[in-house]
Amino acid sequence: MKENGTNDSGQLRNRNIALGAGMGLVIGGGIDMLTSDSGWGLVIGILVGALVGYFVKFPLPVMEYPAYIIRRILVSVVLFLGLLFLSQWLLDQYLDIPYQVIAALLPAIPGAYLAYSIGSAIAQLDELQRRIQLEAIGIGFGASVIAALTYALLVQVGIPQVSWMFVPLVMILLWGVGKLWTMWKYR
Amino acid sequence: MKNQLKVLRAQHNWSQAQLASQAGVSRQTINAIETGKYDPSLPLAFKLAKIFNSSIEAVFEPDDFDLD
Repeated sequence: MKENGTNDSGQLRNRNIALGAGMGLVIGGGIDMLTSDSGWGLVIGILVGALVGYFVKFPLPVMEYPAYIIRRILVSVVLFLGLLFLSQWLLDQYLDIPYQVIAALLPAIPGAYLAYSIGSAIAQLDELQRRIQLEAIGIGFGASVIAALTYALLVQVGIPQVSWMFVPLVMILLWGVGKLWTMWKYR
Repeated sequence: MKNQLKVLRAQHNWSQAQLASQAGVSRQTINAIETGKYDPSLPLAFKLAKIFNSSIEAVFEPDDFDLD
C-alpha cells in the first residue's frame, strides 16, 4: 500500500515537473525569440518551470480535448508563427507603406482562427474545467493590465523600454499562474 | 451545498473515474463536488441523481439559510 502511494506520488511529481517544464519552455522560448538571446531564456524557463512543478504537491489536471480541436489549434499556431516571421521579414524589406500595412496584418488571419479554436476548446470542457479556465483567464487578464500600467509608469521614471511583443508572453505567464491558483482552489 | 455523492459512490463500489465517465465530466469535477469545493449546475446535479436512481434531494442538500 505504502509502495503504491510512493509510486503515485513519484508519478504525480514527474508529471507536474513535465507540465511545469513545458510551460517554462513556451515562456522561455518566447523571451529568447524576442531578445535574440543565445538560448538562456529557454534553459532558465525550463528549469524554473520544472522547479515550480516539483514543489506543486497536488495533481495538475490535464484537460482533455478532442483530437480535431488539438489539430485545429496546432495548425493555427503553426500558421500564426509562420506568418509572424514572414511578416517581420517583409517589414524589414522596406516595402511601400500599403504593402507594409498588409504585411503587418498577415498574422491576424491565423490569429483570429487561433482565438476561435481556443474558444472551441474551452467550450468542450466540463463545467468545472470551464470555470477554472474562466477564473484563470480573468486573473491573467487583470494582472496583465496592472503589470502593463505599472510598467508604463516605470518607463516614465526611466527604466528601459522593451518590445510590446512581451505583452502576450506576460499574459500567458500570468494566465498560467492564475490557472495554478484556481486548480489548487478546486483540487 | 452538502451532498451524499461519496457515500452513494461507495455503496455502488465505483471509483471517482467510473462515476465521472458515466456523468460525462472529469474525475477532478467529481472530486471537487464530493469535497464540497464546487457546487454542480442543476443539469449535472439531476444527472448525478439519476445515475444513482435517487431524487436530487436525496443526493444534494442545501446549507442552512434564511429566506428573510
